[in-house]
Amino acid sequence: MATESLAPVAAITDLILGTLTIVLANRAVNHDPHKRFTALLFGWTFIFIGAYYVIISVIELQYPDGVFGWSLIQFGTFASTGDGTFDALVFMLYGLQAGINILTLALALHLPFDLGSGRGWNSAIIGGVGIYTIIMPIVVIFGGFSITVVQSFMIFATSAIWTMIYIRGIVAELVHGDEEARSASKGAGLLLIAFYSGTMIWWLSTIMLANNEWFSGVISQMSESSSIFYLLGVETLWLSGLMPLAVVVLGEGYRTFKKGASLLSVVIFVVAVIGFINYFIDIAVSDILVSCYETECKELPAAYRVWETLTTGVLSYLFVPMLFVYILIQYRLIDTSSDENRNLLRIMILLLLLIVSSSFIEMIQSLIPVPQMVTASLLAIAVAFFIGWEERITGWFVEESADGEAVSGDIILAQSFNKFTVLMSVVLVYIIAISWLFAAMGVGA
Amino acid sequence: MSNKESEAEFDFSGFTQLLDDRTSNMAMVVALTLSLVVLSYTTIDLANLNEEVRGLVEGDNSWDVSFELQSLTFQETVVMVDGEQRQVDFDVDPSDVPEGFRVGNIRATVSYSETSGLPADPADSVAANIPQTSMQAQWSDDNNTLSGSSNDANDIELVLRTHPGFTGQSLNASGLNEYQVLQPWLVEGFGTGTFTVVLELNTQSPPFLNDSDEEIVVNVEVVMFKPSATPV
Repeated sequence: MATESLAPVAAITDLILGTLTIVLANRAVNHDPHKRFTALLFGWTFIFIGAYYVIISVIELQYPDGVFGWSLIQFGTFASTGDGTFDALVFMLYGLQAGINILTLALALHLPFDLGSGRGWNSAIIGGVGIYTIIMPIVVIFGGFSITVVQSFMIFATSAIWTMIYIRGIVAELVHGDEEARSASKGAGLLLIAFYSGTMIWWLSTIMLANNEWFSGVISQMSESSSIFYLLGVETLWLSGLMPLAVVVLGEGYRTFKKGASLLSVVIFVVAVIGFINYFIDIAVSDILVSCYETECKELPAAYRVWETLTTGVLSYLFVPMLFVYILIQYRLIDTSSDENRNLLRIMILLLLLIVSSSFIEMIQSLIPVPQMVTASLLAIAVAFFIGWEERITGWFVEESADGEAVSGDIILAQSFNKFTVLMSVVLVYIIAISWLFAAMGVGA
Repeated sequence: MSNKESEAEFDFSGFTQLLDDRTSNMAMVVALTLSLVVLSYTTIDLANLNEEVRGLVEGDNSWDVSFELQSLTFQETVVMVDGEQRQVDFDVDPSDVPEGFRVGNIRATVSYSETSGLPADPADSVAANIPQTSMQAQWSDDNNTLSGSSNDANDIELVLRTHPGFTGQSLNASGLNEYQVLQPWLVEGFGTGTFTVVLELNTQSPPFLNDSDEEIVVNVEVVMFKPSATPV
């Protein structure tokens, strides 16, 4: 049973959302500058994630028989193929991944708390993002790809910052009775899920060492033995999902017991349950995971692919963009007060909901042989629902809450916004250019 | 935290505020400590796995592959007349091959003697060949002997290699494990089906006498093997 890839849907959604967010952030001259800058960081994160998914989609389309997995980029297990175009696409993924990592760290320093301020702080952030995205892709491409795991420590640091903010918020709310602190814990929790759900859903497999069993199959395919630092980097990446999941599940469990369920608690419990099931799925396919060195490489069963699409795929590709938009709007990072912005916001929300629902229906159709007439009717029902309830849905996204008040920070010079937009545009072009150049020169071969 | 224009170049009061609660700090320290414990044992486990896997991948992966042999034999006796060409078929059914065995090669021995009883009657001339059938075998293998003839009553020995690379002798191979090493020897389907020998007789008669037929015996030996591998 073949499953449709959700990467193209995620690519289109993220690129549209990124563009709209950057436009909204740049035009809201009277809006809180700290929120504008944070929205700009969000917008560029969208663009980088969208570009990442565009390349994944191109690879899936052009190289359907190629072996391409998440670990190739995340753990740097790539070995040059000699196919210039394919290599260039993979190099771009390394560059974009570095960009996403540093933008996420920058976001963690700004949202939901502004952890730094001062005249030099934002310049340092902009400069740091620029220098990192220029140097890191070159280091990875020339350093033998596996050096990319050094970024795991930065990914863990980002996760630790949001985890600390979550703890601070939940303790303030539940122990010290500060109701307003919920905004911080909710924001940090949602951001953790948005950025780390991909590793969170392997939490039990991390603890029970099933991830290691899977990775031993990856190791057997590598041309050289891995150093202990490399293996530490691999484990740190898993930990950056495990630690926040454990903290947020405990925190939300206690809060649900005390105050009832919330959006965050429901989502984190769903992620935890998926992680629980994933471990047993790992056990079921463990023979296949180690087959490359114990017997001979075997394909994972079709049912595994279906489960992966319905959990990791839906979570990363469809749910995360919705979560991003929810955070953007709930924390008033973009100005929703003017009519002009409100219309753009409506477009953004409806577009997101329609793309997500239609692709979800298409995906279901690819898994279960439902007649097209039925799925077309379902889509029509969804469209009618979204149009009829447009006002209410938009209202739910932008409903007044104290969350928007929780985010504040220092004044940022107006020219910084333009500088950052220009810088990130240049970085994007730079990543594409050096990837083509180095792949054409046979670097890494 | 309030919206402010900080005078300082760098102001990290946000970090200070984040870390100014003892209960939160304690919770975070516990989370980090547990994370460190998990990180330690998972990394040690992965390092052990890495060592084990690399040992397999990079180690001296030489194996000695030997074969336990068994045979399946057929015999067919035909009486042919001068100038006759006859096809003799032998069916090697998959159920004839014992569990774990594969067909390595098929040998055919064509035997005859001069049986006319006529004085000074020279041996007849017999030709034999193995035509290609639908049987999966190494039809183009250089070690095959697919045709032969005799005019002195000596046996004609024919051989068809069915399983790729099979000689019946032990050999060295390399691979990560026994499964991979034995994989080439466990391919099924070779050597089953119809094996055909085509015979042609030309009798030789002494002057003024007539030797018009001959009895020919075809012995077919299906050589089967069961592979096993031991690390060298």
